[in-house]
Amino acid sequence: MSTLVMGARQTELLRVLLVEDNAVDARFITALLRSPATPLQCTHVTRLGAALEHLRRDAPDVILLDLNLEDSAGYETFGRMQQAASGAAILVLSGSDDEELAIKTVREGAQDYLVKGTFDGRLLLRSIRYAIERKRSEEALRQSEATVRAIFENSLDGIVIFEDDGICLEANAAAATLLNLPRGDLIGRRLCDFCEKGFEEVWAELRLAESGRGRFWADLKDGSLRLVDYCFTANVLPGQHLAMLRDITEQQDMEEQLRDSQKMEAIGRLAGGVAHDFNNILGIISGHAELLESNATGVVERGRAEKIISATEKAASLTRQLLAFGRKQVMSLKVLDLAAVLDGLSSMIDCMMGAEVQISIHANRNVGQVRADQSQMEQVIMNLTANAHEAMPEGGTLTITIDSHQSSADDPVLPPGEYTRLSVSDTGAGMSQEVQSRVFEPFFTTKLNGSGLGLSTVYGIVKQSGGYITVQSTPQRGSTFNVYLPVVRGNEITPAPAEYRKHSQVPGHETILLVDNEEDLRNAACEYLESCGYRVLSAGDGKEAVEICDRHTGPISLLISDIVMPKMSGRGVVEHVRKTRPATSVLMISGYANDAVWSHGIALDPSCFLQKPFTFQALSAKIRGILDKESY
Amino acid sequence: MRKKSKQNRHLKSEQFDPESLWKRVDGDLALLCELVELFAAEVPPMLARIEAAIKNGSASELEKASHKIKGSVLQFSAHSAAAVALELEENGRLGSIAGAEALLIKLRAEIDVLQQTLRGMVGGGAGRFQE
Repeated sequence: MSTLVMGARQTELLRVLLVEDNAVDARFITALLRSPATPLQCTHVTRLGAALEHLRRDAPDVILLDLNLEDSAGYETFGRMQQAASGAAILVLSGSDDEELAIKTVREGAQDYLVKGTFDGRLLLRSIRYAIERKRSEEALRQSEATVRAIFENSLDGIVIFEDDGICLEANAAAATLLNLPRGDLIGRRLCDFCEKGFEEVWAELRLAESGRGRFWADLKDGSLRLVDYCFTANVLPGQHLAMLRDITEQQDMEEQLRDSQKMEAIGRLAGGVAHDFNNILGIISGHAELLESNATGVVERGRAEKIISATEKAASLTRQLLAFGRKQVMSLKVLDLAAVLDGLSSMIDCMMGAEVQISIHANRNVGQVRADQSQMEQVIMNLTANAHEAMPEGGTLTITIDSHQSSADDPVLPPGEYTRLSVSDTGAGMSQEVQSRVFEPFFTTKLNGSGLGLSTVYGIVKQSGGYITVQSTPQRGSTFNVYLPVVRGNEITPAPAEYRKHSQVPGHETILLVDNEEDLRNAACEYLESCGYRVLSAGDGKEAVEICDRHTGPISLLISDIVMPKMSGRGVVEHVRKTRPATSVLMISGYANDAVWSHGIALDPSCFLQKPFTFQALSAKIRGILDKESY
Repeated sequence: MRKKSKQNRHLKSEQFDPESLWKRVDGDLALLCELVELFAAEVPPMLARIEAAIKNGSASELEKASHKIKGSVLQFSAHSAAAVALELEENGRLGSIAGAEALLIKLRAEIDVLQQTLRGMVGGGAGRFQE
């Protein structure tokens, strides 16, 4: 092996490996390589073995290769060199003007095929320069193709190349997965075969427009429908068109769920707010009606007062349902065995259904316990059962199941975890998609005499209990409502607080500070409490309450305060009273549930809360419960 | 050291193209001298190899050796000698030794002429080019 450096003035030194076993030829060629304009370092070896050995140590830019050597001949010489030197440009120098061999070697990767004796130095150097440039271009193209191929193969989106008539030429793995076909089976199929009717026209428009985006429903061989987002670019190569496909079915479902959830949240806030204000008004009506009743001298007056009280109770029941939907209902949470709750209702369900409906109840008693309000859970079961009954006016089968459900991370509705599932199914009329999407809205009903509050109440209770509800329905085949409640683990089970003794109509003697900005309600309550024997200090807002508290010289046994008030909130009053009169007990009243107390930052035993509207008898009992407990 | 190719135009024939040779060495007489000397040293073993192949009846060896000498004479633009070498190479490739001896004699003659011509071009003494 010999190495010569020629014309080294230039900065880029080309490294040439000359593989030639004829001394005359080798000398001729090295002489031709002399050029000040093309500095190069030429290493000469006479055998293929030596050339391969050299390639293990060095990476020449170009190889000048004689095919017929002592240790190798013909095309085999080229093949072995090309395998060993994939980064170098190979120029074949041959004594044979063999067109067939020349074409074969060039086709397989040789940059040129020169016949000995037919070229001079200029031609040889030019061939070398061109060969190197072509090789670099090929390498850049190869890398670019490798990058594009890697993107094509690994893309999470489906990529398909189509011909003019929409026939698939090439498809990546993601496209095959999306269209639920083996990749090979996709080739030769038309895109329109997978799309809904009328997509042929869309395809024609896309071809004319050259590019476009849109969506189509893909009808897959397993009968399922997938919503596909596509991006089309025509003529990425002449007569070849690119389509990027993305399955957005789940995304669409999630968006719809989010929209539904936001809609229900907004409706819930509205319903809760209306119920709150309405409760205050009901409280005033109810309070005054109770005063009228207690002061009535005649039977007629007493009867009218009772009718008013009865009507306010019905109205309060309505607002309770609205509050339940708005998740602002007072809850008495305890750890429940849902199967036991269902068991307790079975006779009532039997009565409700009648003979035309077959009832099938599967309640697994080994399912996990849940934390919920028992009466609310009873309401959930009864409302769902009533709904199922109404869906089967001509009879059918009602199935109620309670079992365990383990949710995985990919569940679109439930967070991962263990749930107790209550399922109520009917074989009735079923619901359309549109009805299903609105079924939990308050006042939405498809029945002539429906209130539209049954299922919305269920929804509110389930959400307030930290659970989830889903509905599956097929028109003419029936519906299934699934309620999922998180299972309470052993260390989360705490005994329910003992209920205080109920008191009613017990005469009082203590001093009470009553704060409420609803003057009519406050005055009625004052009058009632005074009639019970209490001394009542009345304040129209928090600031006035604080002043009375500071000014009053005697003891104040109980502070009864609304929460949301002008000037100073209930929280401010409570803090002041606790600081200046630590012996004074506190009872908060509000049109919202007791969670509103916590949200206003007042640390309070849940038993020291009364939700409006309340009867004065209930108020009286609550007061005695608190004061008598304090005196124990 | 350069010499104009015009000086050797009289040597041009169908068998040999001195102008082409001068062009290929870019008029470099020193290089041509070196190549002619190298050729003179390399030719005898190459011819001996062809002779041995014929004697041993080895067609493949005849093909290889003939191909080799063909490349060398082509470098000197000696088309006539290259044509005879190619004929020998073809005989070897086809496995035919018959007639090879006659072709070898013809090749030797062509190479003798070539070497004389080359000596004339470089103006060197005969002794330098004797086999």
